[in-house]
Amino acid sequence: MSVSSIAPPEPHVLPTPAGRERGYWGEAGDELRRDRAAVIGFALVAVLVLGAIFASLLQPADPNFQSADGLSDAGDPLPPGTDGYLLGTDGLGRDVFSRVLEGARISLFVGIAANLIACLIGMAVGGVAGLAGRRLQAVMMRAVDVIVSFPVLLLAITLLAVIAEPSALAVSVIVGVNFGAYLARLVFVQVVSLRTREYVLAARACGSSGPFVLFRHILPHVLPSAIVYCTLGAATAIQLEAALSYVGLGIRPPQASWGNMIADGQPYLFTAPWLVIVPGVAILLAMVGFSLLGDGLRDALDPTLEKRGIASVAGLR
Amino acid sequence: MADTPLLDIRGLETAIGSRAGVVRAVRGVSLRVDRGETVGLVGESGSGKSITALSIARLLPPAGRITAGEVLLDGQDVLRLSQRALRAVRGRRIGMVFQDSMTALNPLLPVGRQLTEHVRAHLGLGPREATRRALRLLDEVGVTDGERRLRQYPHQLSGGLRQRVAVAIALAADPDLLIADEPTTALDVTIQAQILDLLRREQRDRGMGLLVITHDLGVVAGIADRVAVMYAGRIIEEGATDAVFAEPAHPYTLGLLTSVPRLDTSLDARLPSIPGAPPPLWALDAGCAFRPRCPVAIDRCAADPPLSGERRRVACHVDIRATVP
Amino acid sequence: MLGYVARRLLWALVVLWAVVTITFCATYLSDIDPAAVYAGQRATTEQIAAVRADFGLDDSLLVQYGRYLARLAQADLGQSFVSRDDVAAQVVDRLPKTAELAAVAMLIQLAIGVPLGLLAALKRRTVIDRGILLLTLLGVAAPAFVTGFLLLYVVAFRLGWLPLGGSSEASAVILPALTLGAAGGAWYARMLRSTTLNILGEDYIRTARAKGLAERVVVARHVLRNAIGPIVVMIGLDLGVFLGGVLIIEKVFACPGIGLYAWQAIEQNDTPAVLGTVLVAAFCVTLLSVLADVVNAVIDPRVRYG
Repeated sequence: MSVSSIAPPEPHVLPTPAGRERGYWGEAGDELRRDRAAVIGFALVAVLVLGAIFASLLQPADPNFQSADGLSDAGDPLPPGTDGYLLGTDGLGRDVFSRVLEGARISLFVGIAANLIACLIGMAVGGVAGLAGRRLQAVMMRAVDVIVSFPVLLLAITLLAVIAEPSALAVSVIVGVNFGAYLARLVFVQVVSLRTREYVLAARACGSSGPFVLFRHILPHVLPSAIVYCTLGAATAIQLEAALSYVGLGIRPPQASWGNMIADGQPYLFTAPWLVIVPGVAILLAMVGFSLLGDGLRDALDPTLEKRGIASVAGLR
Repeated sequence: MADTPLLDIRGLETAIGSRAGVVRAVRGVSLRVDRGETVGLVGESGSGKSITALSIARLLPPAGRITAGEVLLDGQDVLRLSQRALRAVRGRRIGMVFQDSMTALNPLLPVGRQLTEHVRAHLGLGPREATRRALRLLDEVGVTDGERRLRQYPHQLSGGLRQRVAVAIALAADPDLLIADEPTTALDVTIQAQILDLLRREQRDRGMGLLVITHDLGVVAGIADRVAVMYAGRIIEEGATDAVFAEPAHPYTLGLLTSVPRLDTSLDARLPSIPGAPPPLWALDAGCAFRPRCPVAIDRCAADPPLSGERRRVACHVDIRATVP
Repeated sequence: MLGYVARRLLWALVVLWAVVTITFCATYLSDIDPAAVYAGQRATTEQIAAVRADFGLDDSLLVQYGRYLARLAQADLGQSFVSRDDVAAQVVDRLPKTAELAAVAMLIQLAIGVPLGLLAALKRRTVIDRGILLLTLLGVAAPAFVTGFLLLYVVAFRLGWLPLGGSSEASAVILPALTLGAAGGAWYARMLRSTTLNILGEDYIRTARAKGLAERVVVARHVLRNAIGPIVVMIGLDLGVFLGGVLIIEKVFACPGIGLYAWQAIEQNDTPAVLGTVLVAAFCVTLLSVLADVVNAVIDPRVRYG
């Protein structure tokens, strides 16, 4: 007797857990929502984004408006809460709250622009290098390695020191190129390993061209780590911009940036500490927000973590 | 019946926590392995066979928990041992060989170190004695040029050599029971045969009990005295290998056997397979787990069939041996 | 092994060459006219032109590049636009102070980071782990200079325990080193936790346990040994971040090292001084990172045997 001599039964449709088919992004979204830390991070980032977008509406005063009204009789900055100045004024009588919102715009711009640039460069360079022939690969990755070997702050200092009027865009580009190099390495490693997977070979066997294979089959697999990297990178970018502005190489006064606000406030550290504390806390919250969100994204999107399904636990990998 | 078996697993139940909920990977497994006997535990991926093996020495991953049952080693329940007593059992009385020798060995330690560290811990040997013993072991498992190999690192050895070293490590402290989890899956066919020969020889020479976990029926046929077939966390058939292979009693076993390609079938014939897929362990219906795919299921199968019998056991309401023409 | 070291050194030279070239190109393409800065704010056009001729600033790109490389080979970093001092001498003079700060900070960093990271990984999902994660999140998210100001304000000003800055007393190095070390330590703790967690999930840890080894042996011999490699690499990479951070910290605490020197140079548009400092920093970073890689090769046989 053999199995094939008996009529096969009806195919059994497998139930999916929790009764709903969600797919990779859907499941990741669910997991993210359940992650309290990530939700907090998202909230912080949302506050930053909204504050930056609606800055002009929210600012009670022109951030660069210097006025004697903003100073005490002795000519000192006003502490938070006096005279309707929500967060006080600085040494030139300017409203700190308005300036902080202005700084939020800069930070957000740099955070996003730098990482967008990094994402584009990273995926393009890493992807192309990953699929290229050995010589082109070697050349490209060596160039990337040179950029990576050079600490970003030193690089930024070098380049910014020779630009007379650095803008937020300049900072973004410099940071973006550096991050892009790191991301390129990450993407490169992944693409190289994906390149030999069966489905890629199958696509090529069907006659799909190189770029098509890259976009349609490979990059979607690389996207999650790129997203995580860029979200965490936003935190770093914000910190870098603040550091550079603090030192005087980034955004220069009178344009407000959290970094240069701290620099301006430093002489008043002991008499008017809020001038340093407020932008400092702003930087802290922005960085914490992006870090938590990035960590949460990593946990949600990374399929190799233990939490994800029983496959790894059952030794199936 | 012999005296106390070397290994007596009774009603083992193991659960794994996952995002989909708590998965009962092992749902009441009872199995015996005697000294001088080789038992093969066979099943597809996800049948629970590896988890069963890991449960014996309590080597489950952090999300795993043994929820019921006993694992008696010479009458002593391993599951109730203190951490200290457990450590004395691991390596010394139970040796384990894992599937992937590349990841199972520490890449930063020389092979010799990995051979001797537990021997020294368990048997209190000095460094020179331990090295001598290691060399003997390497010789025993068929690794030539032992002196040089001891100083080498895992990545410098070929797959076959590494697996031999892994076997040597498992045997180093003279265990009574050897558990091999998919010992040949990652190897070439020719090397597979060598490793299986090695295991068989060692088992015979040392009088150990050998439990081989595998999905490969060929491995079972080559090495096991008795075979137990697992499906969805349960043993559904067990018996002497020859008997089970010649006359399978459970439709799943029959399906497994017929789906192995044979040299004498016509090249044009379609390869038989069992339709459907194993059920997800987090959503098992009541009754026999194989029922949705079973060609001979009857109404009675809505109730879970118990594993009945002594040396020859089957968990099925329909004994297909009775229907063989 | 020797082959590896040689290749690594060669690569370091390539990186340094790239750094030097980038620095040169940056200077060459900059909008700031070095001659104008050198000549001073009240110089006339003729004076500026004379300065240009003096320094050969009108020569072709390649000629200037060649000259630049030649001078570098002799460790000549040029003269400060502002003070006319020899930049190289100035930097070397201030280097020990920064080195001291970096060394103490690195020690603090490791002392905080390694135990916390290991502990968090070994006690995963317990209160200890969550506590450490929270603490380190703050440490990582707070930029060094914010922490620095906080410490300065609270400890030095309000509590008066430690000096406000400068370098007069030996204890002046504590606050800045602590600032750097705390941030770095938090980062190390997280990285080490992540690395250790990965290692704990590896098969060879399971093998070690299957052999019946005591847990502390498993941790010491198998976990730590495999975790050290990434730490060493991290130290190598981190030094670059350090040297950048040092600049900020020195400014906050008025520590007279190369960081402060660079900042003053930036303020005054003193390009040779800025670039000279950057080059020295890059040189140190590259050297130390080669060292870190060599140490890693000693620990990890896969690196040196390929």
